[in-house]
Amino acid sequence: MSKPGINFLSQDELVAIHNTSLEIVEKTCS
Amino acid sequence: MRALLTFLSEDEVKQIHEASLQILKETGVKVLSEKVRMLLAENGAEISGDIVKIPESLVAEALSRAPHKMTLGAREPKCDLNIPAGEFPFLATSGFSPFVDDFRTGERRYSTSADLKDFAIISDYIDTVDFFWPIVIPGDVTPQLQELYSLAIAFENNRKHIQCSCVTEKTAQWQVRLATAIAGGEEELKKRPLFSTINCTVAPLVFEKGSSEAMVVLAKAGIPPAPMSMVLASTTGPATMAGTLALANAEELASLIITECANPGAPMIYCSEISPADMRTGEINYSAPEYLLLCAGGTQLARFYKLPNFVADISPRKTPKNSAPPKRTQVDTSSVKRSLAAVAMHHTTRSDLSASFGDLDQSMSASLDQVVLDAEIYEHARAYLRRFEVNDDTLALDIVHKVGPGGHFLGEKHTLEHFKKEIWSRTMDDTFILDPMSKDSFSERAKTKVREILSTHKVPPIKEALHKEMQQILRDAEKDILGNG
Repeated sequence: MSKPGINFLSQDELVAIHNTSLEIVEKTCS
Repeated sequence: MRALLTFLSEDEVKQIHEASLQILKETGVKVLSEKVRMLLAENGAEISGDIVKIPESLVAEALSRAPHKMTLGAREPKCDLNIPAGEFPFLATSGFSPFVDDFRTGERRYSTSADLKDFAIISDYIDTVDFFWPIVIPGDVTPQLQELYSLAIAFENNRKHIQCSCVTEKTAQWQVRLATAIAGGEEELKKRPLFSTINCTVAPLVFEKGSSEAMVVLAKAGIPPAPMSMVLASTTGPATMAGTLALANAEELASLIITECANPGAPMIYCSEISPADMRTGEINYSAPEYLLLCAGGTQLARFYKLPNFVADISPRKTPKNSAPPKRTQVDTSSVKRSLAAVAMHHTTRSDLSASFGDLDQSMSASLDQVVLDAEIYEHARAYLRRFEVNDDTLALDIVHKVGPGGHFLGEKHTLEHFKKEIWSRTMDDTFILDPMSKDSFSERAKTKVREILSTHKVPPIKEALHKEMQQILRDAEKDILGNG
């Protein structure tokens, strides 16, 4: 059986947050 | 974004579904009603004695007919429940206990109609209770009439949806008559069924005569049955979690087929309360860690079929059954906090419906103050169940850029606009239902609240003409059911 798990983010939300992090690194930290 | 507890992978859900199909096709279910067996035979099932073997095509047909959405109507239309549930599940009291722990005396005794009325009034008052299970049995009523009178008492003293039990065909017929009178007609009742029913299968794979015939009557009237599978892993089901889920799922699918054969397109609620057995005593074990995981698996299977679902009895506080009634301890802030984490975890299974408030000792008993306490705990548990938006505004890219490395966000308008919604700032002292100013324990405050509600809350009565009609229906039912008419 799968290990039980609590998910908080959908795949789309994970991607959106990942993309936002990339933009932060690029715009804010450059 | 929202928290969701899962137990099965997508592939495992399909494996369990396939196993359930095999059980229905090869092992079959035992149906103790000839009438229901004939109904299933007419629709393509294979009958051999009491055993009914169900082909996959019949399962597929039933699944294609079953509604994915439903309205559970209420005496007061503003209390209607639309399934699937949204952000939070809809919650009810527990049921159907033979005892009550009297909050005035602390004694455990047999429950009565007067107790059930008090529970109905308390549950009408508390907004956290979305629908009402007749939580205790009206023990002063003749046993054959208890299910019908439970519904009548609930209708008279509670404006929300009622979910009662029903184990005979005649009871189902009279429960439908009662609800039809209140709804104002058969079609109105179908549109907004004012009650639904719990119809337990007997694990493994047995459908009792009365309960299965009741399901047929209810389905024809548009009343959603919630056929509660109560497989116990290791006794009435395999010891394995996968096998237990497959068996319980087979029972649910068989119930769906009975419902859809009786009335194509009739609503049904997928309902599971499967748990491991306590291997030391043979009893149901709600305290087992596997219980939570089986709840999660059950709701995943229901979602796979897109069926309205009900994982029962997610109680904030379960105590093991003892040979003597346990002494109830004073509930303080720390014990409520411990309960809160368990309640929040259970509800992340995301069942549409659940019932638990007021339960004591695995539904052997119930108490009014426990209803209040459980509702209070659940209100705090909502913090874990909220949905959070992910969009350009909440991702806050512009604000991060503006503040930059080493800055802070306290002075930002964005923070002011969002923090109250996104960050839960309540503590356990900021109570929802209990008096926040009182220095008493949670237990004492719950009792105080019960006294206050019972002395001040008046449930708007059913109109006199309708009340008289209901009384006549009950008199006619009594003659019919007891056979002395």
